[in-house]
Amino acid sequence: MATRRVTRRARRPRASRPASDRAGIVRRLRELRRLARGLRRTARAPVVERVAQIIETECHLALWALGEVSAMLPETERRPRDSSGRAGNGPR
Amino acid sequence: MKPLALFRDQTLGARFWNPYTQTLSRAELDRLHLRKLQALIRYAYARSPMYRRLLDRAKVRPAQIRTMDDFEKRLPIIDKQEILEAQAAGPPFGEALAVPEDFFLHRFQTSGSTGVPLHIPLTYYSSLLWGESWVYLYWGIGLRPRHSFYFPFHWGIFAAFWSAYMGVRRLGGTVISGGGLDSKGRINQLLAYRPDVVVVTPTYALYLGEVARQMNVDLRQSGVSIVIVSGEPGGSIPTTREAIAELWGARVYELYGIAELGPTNPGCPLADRVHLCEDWYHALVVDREDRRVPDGEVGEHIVTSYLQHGQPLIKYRTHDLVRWTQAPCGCGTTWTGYPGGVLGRTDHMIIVKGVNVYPSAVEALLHEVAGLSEHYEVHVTWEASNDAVTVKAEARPEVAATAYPALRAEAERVLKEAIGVTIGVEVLPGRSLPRYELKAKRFFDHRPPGHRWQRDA
Repeated sequence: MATRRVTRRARRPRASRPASDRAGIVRRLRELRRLARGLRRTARAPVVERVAQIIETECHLALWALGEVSAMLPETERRPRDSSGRAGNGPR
Repeated sequence: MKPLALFRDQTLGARFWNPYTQTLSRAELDRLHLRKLQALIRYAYARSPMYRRLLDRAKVRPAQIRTMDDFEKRLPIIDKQEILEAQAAGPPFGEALAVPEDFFLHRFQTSGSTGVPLHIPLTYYSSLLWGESWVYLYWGIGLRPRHSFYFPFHWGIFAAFWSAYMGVRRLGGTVISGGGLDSKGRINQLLAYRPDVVVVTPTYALYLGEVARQMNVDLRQSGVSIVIVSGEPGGSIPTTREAIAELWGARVYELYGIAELGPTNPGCPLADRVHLCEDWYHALVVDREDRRVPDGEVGEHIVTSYLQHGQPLIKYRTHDLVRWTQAPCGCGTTWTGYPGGVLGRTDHMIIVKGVNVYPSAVEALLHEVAGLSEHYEVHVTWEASNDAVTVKAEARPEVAATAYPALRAEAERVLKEAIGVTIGVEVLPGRSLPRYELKAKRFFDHRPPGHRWQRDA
């Protein structure tokens, strides 16, 4: 059976690199929020959906604290269409 | 055992909770405020029937707020009465509400001392931000997750110290509840648990000292190193702050907040002022004609909250008098400072022979008179086309009644010398004025409504 060779470098995800600059932190927070939104859309267990909501809310808070102003509530941000084609409840 | 830590050493030593914004220049802060205000106004117009009506009445659309000047001049200032009326349209929240009730995490209300209580809905996200606003204070004065916080508080329907509790949770500190106990029980609990911090009103901080004395307990032995006061002026009044510091053998800081808005102004680590928490609030200070007062001047505090998502509040009239300044502060932040904290209430404004008299100034001066306790009342009447003020001040219990006339003369001299007008003082025996466990009622206005600056809120 062939074994997949995984080097230490390859296993380390990009996200673990230090992002000491503000722009890098903002980028990583947006990515984290995107992942949380995806989890919310696909979660079947309420416990997981709630955790995803909380992660998304915390990302929203952190982005505001960094001066990245978007909608007032995470729930009212413009969102991409989900897998069913339903549009997000975005703000004007 | 491998050590565990909530924060890494790199952040644990940070001076500010949010180093990104607490040192931005005024121009950068204002640019950021404009974007936040625009987002908030769009949100409120889209979701709150009350704000849609207010803006329509003022003939303003959200898209027309393009500059800070537009915000200051085109948007109306809103008062508590308008929120009450919007709530009355469909109690409890009526047309003031901007989210479905599913979003509520917590409900509060004001005491309704002037008639009808104001209902305050808090969403999950708002509750995080209420807590956040306290953490700027906690972090700035050196508090970290290893510290414990004691709350001698009843945890009722009033917002009071709930937000401070939410802040300890955000920080990661330890909450010790003094709920369900009387003052003696709380003092015993303080001695047993030895918390680092007590969060309390100035009135109750002093009252606990009185009870401790009756129990032969010295609060300086309780291990409390920091007392954080809130809920009423006092923390920024030097003599009151010193009295609390002396009693507890602790450093004293304050946070100024307003129930319906939240914790707007964490105290400065230098303890002589509070700062506007500019991440989550915007503020203006205006004169009687609602014009912005210059830097360094006193006026009414008009606050906009970026965190009341359930019930948005934009340009909300607080009725609090503050002096604001953008001058650099020794603590290093660029956030607006309010030296002396809250100076009084607009509806408590007293003008004696053309001189503005602030009740907080009276409090500070009474503390200078040896032999008077911290308990006092200010009574204002309208006589001969002028405000007339009488101060009822309580003597310390150990002072003999024969010394009252001299005490009265001394208090009147101190007030006259500092304020420049005569204020009558009546000295009362020790323990004759009421005691309070949350906020003290110190101001009694007997003037006809037409002779007050603003009607009571």
